[in-house]
Amino acid sequence: MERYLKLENIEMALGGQANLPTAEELQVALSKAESDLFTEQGIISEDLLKSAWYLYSVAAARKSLELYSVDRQRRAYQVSAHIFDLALQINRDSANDQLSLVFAAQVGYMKGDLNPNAAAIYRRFGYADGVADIEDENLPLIIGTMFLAMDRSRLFRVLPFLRQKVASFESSTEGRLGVLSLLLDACWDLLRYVSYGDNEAYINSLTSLENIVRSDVGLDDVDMRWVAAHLLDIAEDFGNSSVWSMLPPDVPPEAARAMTLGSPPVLNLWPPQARLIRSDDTNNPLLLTTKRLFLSIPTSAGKTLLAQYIAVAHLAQNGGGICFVAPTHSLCREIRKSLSDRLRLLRQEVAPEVPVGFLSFFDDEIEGNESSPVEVVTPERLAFMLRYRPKETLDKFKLFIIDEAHLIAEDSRGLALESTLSLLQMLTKDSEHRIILMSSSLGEGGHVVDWMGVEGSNRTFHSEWRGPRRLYGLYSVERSDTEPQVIEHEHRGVSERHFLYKNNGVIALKLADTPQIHRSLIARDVGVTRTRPRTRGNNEGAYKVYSEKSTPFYKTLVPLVDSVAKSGPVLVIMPTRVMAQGLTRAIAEARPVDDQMDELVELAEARVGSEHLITKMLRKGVAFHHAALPVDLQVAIEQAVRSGKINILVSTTTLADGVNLPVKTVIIGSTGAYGAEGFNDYISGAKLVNAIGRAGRAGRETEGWIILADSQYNEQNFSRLEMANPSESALVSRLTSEIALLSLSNMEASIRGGERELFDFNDAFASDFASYIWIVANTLLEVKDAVVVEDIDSFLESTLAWRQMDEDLRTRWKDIARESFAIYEATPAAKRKRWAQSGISVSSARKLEELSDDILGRFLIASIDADGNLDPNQDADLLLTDDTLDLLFTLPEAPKTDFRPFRSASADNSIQVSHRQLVKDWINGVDLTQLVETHLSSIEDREYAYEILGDYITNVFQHYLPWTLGVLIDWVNINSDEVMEGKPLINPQIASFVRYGVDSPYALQLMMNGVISRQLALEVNRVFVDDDSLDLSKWLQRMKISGFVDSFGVNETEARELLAYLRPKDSNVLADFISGEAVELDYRISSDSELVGDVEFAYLDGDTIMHRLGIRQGSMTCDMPLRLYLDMEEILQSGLPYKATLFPRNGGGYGLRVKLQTFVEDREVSVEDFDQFDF
Amino acid sequence: MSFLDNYVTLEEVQEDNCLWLKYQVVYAADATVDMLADKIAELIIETRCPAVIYNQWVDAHAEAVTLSDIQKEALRIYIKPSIGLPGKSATDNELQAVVAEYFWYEIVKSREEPEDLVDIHKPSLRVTEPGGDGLVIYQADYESYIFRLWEVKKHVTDVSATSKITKASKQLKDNGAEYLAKLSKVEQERDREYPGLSQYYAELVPKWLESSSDAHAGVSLSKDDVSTVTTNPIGIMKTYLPGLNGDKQLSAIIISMPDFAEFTKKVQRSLWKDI
Repeated sequence: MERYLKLENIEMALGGQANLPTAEELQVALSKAESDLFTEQGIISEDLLKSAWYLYSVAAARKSLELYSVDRQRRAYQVSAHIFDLALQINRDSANDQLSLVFAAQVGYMKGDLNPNAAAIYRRFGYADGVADIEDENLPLIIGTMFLAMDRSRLFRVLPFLRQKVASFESSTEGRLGVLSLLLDACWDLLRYVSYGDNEAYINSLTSLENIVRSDVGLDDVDMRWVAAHLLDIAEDFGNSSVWSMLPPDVPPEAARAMTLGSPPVLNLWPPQARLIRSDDTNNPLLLTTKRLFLSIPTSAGKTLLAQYIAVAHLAQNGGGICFVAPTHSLCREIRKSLSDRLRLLRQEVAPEVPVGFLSFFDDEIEGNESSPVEVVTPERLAFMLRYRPKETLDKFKLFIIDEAHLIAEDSRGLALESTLSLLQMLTKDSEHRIILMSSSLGEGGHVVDWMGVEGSNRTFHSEWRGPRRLYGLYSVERSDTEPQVIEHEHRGVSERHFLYKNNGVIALKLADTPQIHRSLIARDVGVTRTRPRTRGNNEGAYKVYSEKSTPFYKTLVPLVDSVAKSGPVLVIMPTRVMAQGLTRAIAEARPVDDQMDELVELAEARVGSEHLITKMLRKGVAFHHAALPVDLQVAIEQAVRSGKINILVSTTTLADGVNLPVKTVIIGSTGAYGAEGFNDYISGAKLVNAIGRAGRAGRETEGWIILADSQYNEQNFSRLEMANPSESALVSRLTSEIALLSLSNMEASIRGGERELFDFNDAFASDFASYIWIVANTLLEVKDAVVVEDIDSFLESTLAWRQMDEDLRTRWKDIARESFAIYEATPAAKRKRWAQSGISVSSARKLEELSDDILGRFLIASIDADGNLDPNQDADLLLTDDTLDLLFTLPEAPKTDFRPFRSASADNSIQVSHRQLVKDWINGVDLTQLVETHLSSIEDREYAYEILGDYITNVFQHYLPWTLGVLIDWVNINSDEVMEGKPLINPQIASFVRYGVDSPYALQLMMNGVISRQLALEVNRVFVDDDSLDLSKWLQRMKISGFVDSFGVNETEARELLAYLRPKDSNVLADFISGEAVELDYRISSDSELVGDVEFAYLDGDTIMHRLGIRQGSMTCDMPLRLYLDMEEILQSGLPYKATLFPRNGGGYGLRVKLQTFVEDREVSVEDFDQFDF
Repeated sequence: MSFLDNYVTLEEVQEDNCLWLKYQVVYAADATVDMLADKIAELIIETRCPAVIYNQWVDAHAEAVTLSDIQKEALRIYIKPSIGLPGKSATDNELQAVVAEYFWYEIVKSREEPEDLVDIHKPSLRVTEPGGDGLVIYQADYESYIFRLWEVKKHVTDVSATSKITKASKQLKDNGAEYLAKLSKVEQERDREYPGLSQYYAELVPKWLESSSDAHAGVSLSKDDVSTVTTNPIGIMKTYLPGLNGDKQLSAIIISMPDFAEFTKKVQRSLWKDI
């Protein structure tokens, strides 16, 4: 989409109108106003507002009059909305005027194809305080703004009361009341249409609105008629843009319902979504006939929701299982959660997280998992599934959605993803399987679409659309004009003069798509710069900055961060963890303790202790975020940022890459950092695109700020920010990279010289490639029952790399592939299969094979000693010996496992740590504080100690060991199968125990079913085991929410995790409710209760789930059974009208009947109620 | 003809080819103040309410009938905007502004002009909204229209009322486009018998900005007798709206009366009497 702020677009919108600013002047004024908004200065001039109303009048001219082109009207709407928005933010008019501006801005944004901004502007300025009654002259605007923001939950509450009250008057069809009545009816009918697809309601709404705008009634209420006129325009648009109007005939309505009634509701589609879904039948992503598609859409353009819609439509058409691939565990977790909420409406589940090494759909231990048709996995797990059970994987999954496909070009993981996708592509070329690649940073993606064999007229879909506009800023420091302080300094007996300058923080701002730059002072005294003679002792010569005595640049960022944080959450991205932590500390320094953070602080104290830097920072309401923090703490911090509890988050680039966490402002705290090989420019490519993409929360804000901080002002940096667009050039196969070619040459030379054979070679690229060929050979054999060298050639030809190599390079890689295949063929069948399935390199597999023989011997001897009754608790001790760990840690696949005493220490100085004891303590549930005290006590810098332990846990415990131990256990159990008569010699759960840091099956069960906190799982297990019960789920169901707090000390997030565990896996409550069926549920209530009849759901003691969700009838209340908690809360929070009735069952006990109410007539509302009603 | 004719004297002043109307309210006896207040109250009810409610109010006001609770409730809905309800009165400022607007409305709708009156936009429910208070459209010829945008002000203190004329002129200049833009949207959607009227409404804003020859402006001021208008209002308007320099493109109405503030209270009491 062309950007509307470009000069030619403003020119077109203005059309050369006399007595208004010219297009150039308007662009300058807009750019200046945006800068004023940032610096909290200035005012929107009358001329600017006059221009806005002129543009609005051009835009709003009746189409049938054909006064202006459609394109001009759209641009005029966009620019007018932008000005109204600025006026609201900068001028802050009175409530009445404000509502008109909000409505005008919303209309402009909706009609200008910038829909999410209509909701954003309402969220900031549209809420009406107090009671709005039908006599309130602002009511039409209140309802209008609410409707354009699609605030369904409020409308469902408000409209029935208002409609009923109007209907109570004799004269309800005449005058202003009559018009109001029509307006309320129209809104109600439109709401029913967008929510339920009720076409009759849609026609009725159009009729009501036409009756208002075409007639002469209520002429004195201009606002009412104004609102009605625009609602009519927008309602007519719904005929083309609502989820219902765009549902392809082959897709059942359940899919649309899951979108409109699920959370968050999607009532009309954003322009890129609508454009895609409107595409022709061969490439409509909602249709099963679309086999391949590449979608290049930024996150802020609704990529996530689009992926959900594709998944929902696929399932609704019985298209088969879905494998959703996302690059990080954090993203997987997020997608799993959001997808699960929506799929529940289709009576479908998403499988819980299963770590590498475990196949969920074959593994009966994972409760309720057999029926989950959807899995959300990392690329590594998809690779595992394909090599371990290729046939079953392809049988189960018919749709593969690959998110963030640009990962292919990443150094460390790119080759694996490319190989996996190539294999998948080859295996599914002629089958019904569908592959949809998505990326936010690949531009048109020509390479990808060719590679994936996407066909048809719209084989690629690319959009750079975004809702919130962008303001770019460059922050730098300048010496102030004041006289420097002179310091007499003695250096080795020679006196020299130093100068101490005060620094000012200066910001240069530039509105995207406009050329003007506005520089202004943002903060005084942001530190000092000290200078000294370049030649020591020579006061008359040149001077240079004395860095050690000057304020470090990162500290000067503090006033900037504080300033932007006032208008919304800010994410500061720093090059290194040390810098991220340093800045967080500097920001927190001047802040008071934040009482609101108690819960998060408690969690941090429990996980990492009160002395950990993150705990200290959280107390002040700021946080940093990187991979060395415990996962549950990372999640809690992300949620606190989303909910607004934390406004300032400092992270490394990994957060911007790995989590969908949009904020108002992104500050890139440095252009790079000096490393061993000089200056690393770390803000480039996909990382920069991703970082920038986080700025501006669609639907929350209308603008996003991106600031690049650099100690020197350099205007070129604006281009770096503005040019950071998605680009397909980033997608280059790693097999063609320089490092891969070097690796190939080395391998070729070694083999030629006869020094080593192919799999003795440990160099990353060539060796990985050779090993992957092994896996491919085995997978093809599994699927096709035979494999020949030509198949390997075909595989190579199906890779992205093949398209990017010259003939010579192709031949060289092909030779390696053939060599690998030859060795594969020469290896015994069982062994080569096992090695391939393990996913480990062939050279490592050989070593593991030997190790597994040793372990087998060790276990058999122990088993014989114990007369065949080996204590299961001994398994871990026998398996996790020093020898085992030493060997595993020397394999090339192993992550870094040494502990260095301080950051810059060399590997030679590593401290001695017993890995065996560390693993043992970990699975015994020892918390992080204790682990540091026990194993890393010799490290003085405690914060550093926590950091390296965090890395160790992530890399070793959560990834590497579960994988390799899983392989070892599997092999030992296969080899002992005969002796053990089918019973496993080693408990297969040990790998999972290491993954999750727990030592009991119950704790494991909780963690594999959504409980993130290890401590909580252990605590529940402890109390449960003491209670001597048998069924964990039933035992938990007997509790109340307060019992969770009393027994396990849960916070709200943890309580939700336990409630999710208790929610029946086959619960279709929400789906049945949404489809209009009466849902009947068993409800436990004391037999002498008088609480029968109609009831409502409510939080009984407060306003969150921690305050007892229950049912209420007058003053009588009753707690909700815990297994129903989440379903009932979703009904309550959906805002959909319901009728709930508690009734005695014939056979004894009570039942709760819940039914969706779609018509106001179903609801009894008294006029008296209205007086109490406050929305 | 207007009911006002019984209460006012009128002086018409020509200035720079433009007309300035000076109305002076004159009471024959004490009771006429209340009668005029009742008339203005009735005008408000008649303008705001549907016929059935207006008739009920008239009958109740004449003490011919007693209104039921629900009838009173309905009336309250129409009276509340910018006037308020007993116990929840609007501000004096709003009340005076409403009464000023209805004086203007009555004068404009009852004056005979050489062109045919097509539309006169009723006083808004939100009187403190900026950007113009009244729009009048006249048909000059077949498919040919002219419009006048009015800014209506009130003035109750004894300082010179000239500042209000200035303020009104500035508001027309700064905010006229906003008011016209809203009405333009609303009116072009209406089904009308006048040929080309929809399109005329759709183009009001550009016409206003260009000071097109069919664009006209007016300032109406209701004021207390204690203050005076010392300067020619047309001259003041010209400085703010210099483009409107053709014949009759500017116009002013000044209504002066004794104790305007108290009068507006009487109107309010009259409106509240039956609810």
